Amino acid sequence: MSFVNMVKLVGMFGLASVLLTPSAHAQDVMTPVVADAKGEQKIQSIRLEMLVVHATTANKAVDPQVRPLMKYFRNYKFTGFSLLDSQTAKINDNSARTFEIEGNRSVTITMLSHTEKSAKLKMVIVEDKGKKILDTTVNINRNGTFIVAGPKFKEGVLFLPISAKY
Amino acid sequence: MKLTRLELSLLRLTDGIASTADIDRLRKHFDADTVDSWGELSRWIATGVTDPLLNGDGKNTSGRQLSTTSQIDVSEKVMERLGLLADHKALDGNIVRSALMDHFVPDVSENIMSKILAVEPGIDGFNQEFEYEELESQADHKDSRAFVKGETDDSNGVTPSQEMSDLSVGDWSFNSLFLDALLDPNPESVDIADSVEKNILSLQMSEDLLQEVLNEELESSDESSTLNALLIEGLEAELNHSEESIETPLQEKEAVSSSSLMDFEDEIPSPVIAQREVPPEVRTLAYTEDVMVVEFTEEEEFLAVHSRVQQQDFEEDSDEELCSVDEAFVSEAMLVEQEVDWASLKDTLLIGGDTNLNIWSAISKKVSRPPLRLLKDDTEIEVVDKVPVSTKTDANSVQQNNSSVEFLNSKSIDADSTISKVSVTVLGSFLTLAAAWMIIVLPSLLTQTTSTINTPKRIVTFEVAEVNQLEVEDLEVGEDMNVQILQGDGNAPTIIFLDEMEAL
Repeated sequence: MSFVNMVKLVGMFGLASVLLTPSAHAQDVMTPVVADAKGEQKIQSIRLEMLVVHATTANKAVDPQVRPLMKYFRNYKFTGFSLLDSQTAKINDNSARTFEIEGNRSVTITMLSHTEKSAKLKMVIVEDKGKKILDTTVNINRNGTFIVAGPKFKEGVLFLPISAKY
Repeated sequence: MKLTRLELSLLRLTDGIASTADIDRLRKHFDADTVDSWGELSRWIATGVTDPLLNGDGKNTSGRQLSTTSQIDVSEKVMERLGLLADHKALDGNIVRSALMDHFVPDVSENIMSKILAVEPGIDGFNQEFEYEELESQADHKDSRAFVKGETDDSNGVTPSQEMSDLSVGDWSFNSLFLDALLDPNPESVDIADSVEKNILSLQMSEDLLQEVLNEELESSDESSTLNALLIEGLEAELNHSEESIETPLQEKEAVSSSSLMDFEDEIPSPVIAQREVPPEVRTLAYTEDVMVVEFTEEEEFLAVHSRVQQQDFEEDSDEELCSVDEAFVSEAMLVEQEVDWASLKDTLLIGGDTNLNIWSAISKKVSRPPLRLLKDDTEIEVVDKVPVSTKTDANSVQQNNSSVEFLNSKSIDADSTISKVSVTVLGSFLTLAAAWMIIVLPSLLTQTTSTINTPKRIVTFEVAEVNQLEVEDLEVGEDMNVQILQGDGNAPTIIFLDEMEAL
């Protein structure tokens, strides 16, 4: 085998490896599924999504990524909505995940349990001084969304849409 | 000059061409005697002009020259005659005066008398000469195409009246024609109105002759021979008149005379050109400066082509007539002049340099790069002198050899075939490795670069489900905070709103 043919073979092998390797993003999207004793498949973890939206009256600018939620914000006095942050996390039962948000606040979400139709989440919002401003336990339907609003930030407040996707 | 209808009727009556309507109109304003007097007005004027008092001492046998000693105004004489009809109450002298003279110009008769009084008495025949001179000066000054009568003599130091220069062309024509009518050689048989009308008609014909001939020439090809003859006569007369009237040196204009004529030919139909026989002296035309500048440019462009038209056929719109032009557009004199111009131009462009240029010598002077030395051992280099053979035989061969460039013979490189084979193999291997690197390594590098570029804030496409249900099992808020749980539509996301109370 000549040198040229050997180089060509290596190139083809590299190309095949690149094409056949799954991307990291695809791995993130995939949700691990396990089978229970009855043979039914059960989703082991869920994916939490949280947006940090700054609502203000100082302007009338609306972030394009916030527009799907504007119909729910329309009843408030705020006119400007800008997306400050978006965070996602995989979480299993009896596990927690903490998100740092603007205003030196932290949002800790713990998935207590979940079924095929809903998930029970415990949510705690703590300010920088350790002051707990919210401690609640909710039961949200699968792929459902709820919104926590009110923490002050600058000339407005923060809206925190949270979804449990699985 | 504006005339009322009544004045026009009076003039027609004076000329003897009054119609029935004119007579009826005049009878409404004047009585019968007055109207009859107007009918006799022409004869009275003729009689007044030829009156012995106006003929001076009576020795003047010509009878057409006004006496310089008699200070009689023609118009006053006419009015004096009209005064015989003083018993006719309706006759107004102002009507006669206004009908005879222009309303907007000074009295012509007074002007004539002032000129007469301005000269010394005893100069026989001066008045006629002065009037002719004045007519010519007006013609030159106004650039008018009015006819010039007779021969002119040098003026005797008398300057024309400045007042006449202020008159319009029409006013001047009327007055001049009136004077000409007064100076007619046969005054007894002259009707002033007829003379004025005849001259006006002849003047208008002379003014419009060129345009009419041109128009008719374009429209009708059948009458081309007669019209062409008229046109040529008019053009030659105009050109000769211009040549005589301008005293500037013609040597400066001779250079552009041919082009001026050629440009003039463009405006004339080709049949006219074919039949035209312009004498050589006519080519030294006199045109305005603007026209000469433009035509000079065309001449330069035309001469640059170096083309000479031997014979050209021009076909007009009419297929029946086909004219051929045997006369060349470029004459021998023009070519000789062109050669002279080119010689001077070449000296101008290459001033200070050698006009006998050698291209190779000019290039070799610019080349200062040393001969190529690709190999260390100069003895192994087979140098081939590739200086063109033709340049070697040139008279400037010494200078060329000193600056000639030595080229390597291509055989010295092609002889080593082993080197070329190895280089091709290495190059192919390098390209193969590069392709493999691009296939294997580059994608990973691009992935890393993309992850680095991406902001840590990962953009999430937040999708709100159609059904959103929330059950709040437990809720605790801070001490100074209120909480509101808001629910919009049935399936809208539930909003937990925290309201911080302001400290009092």
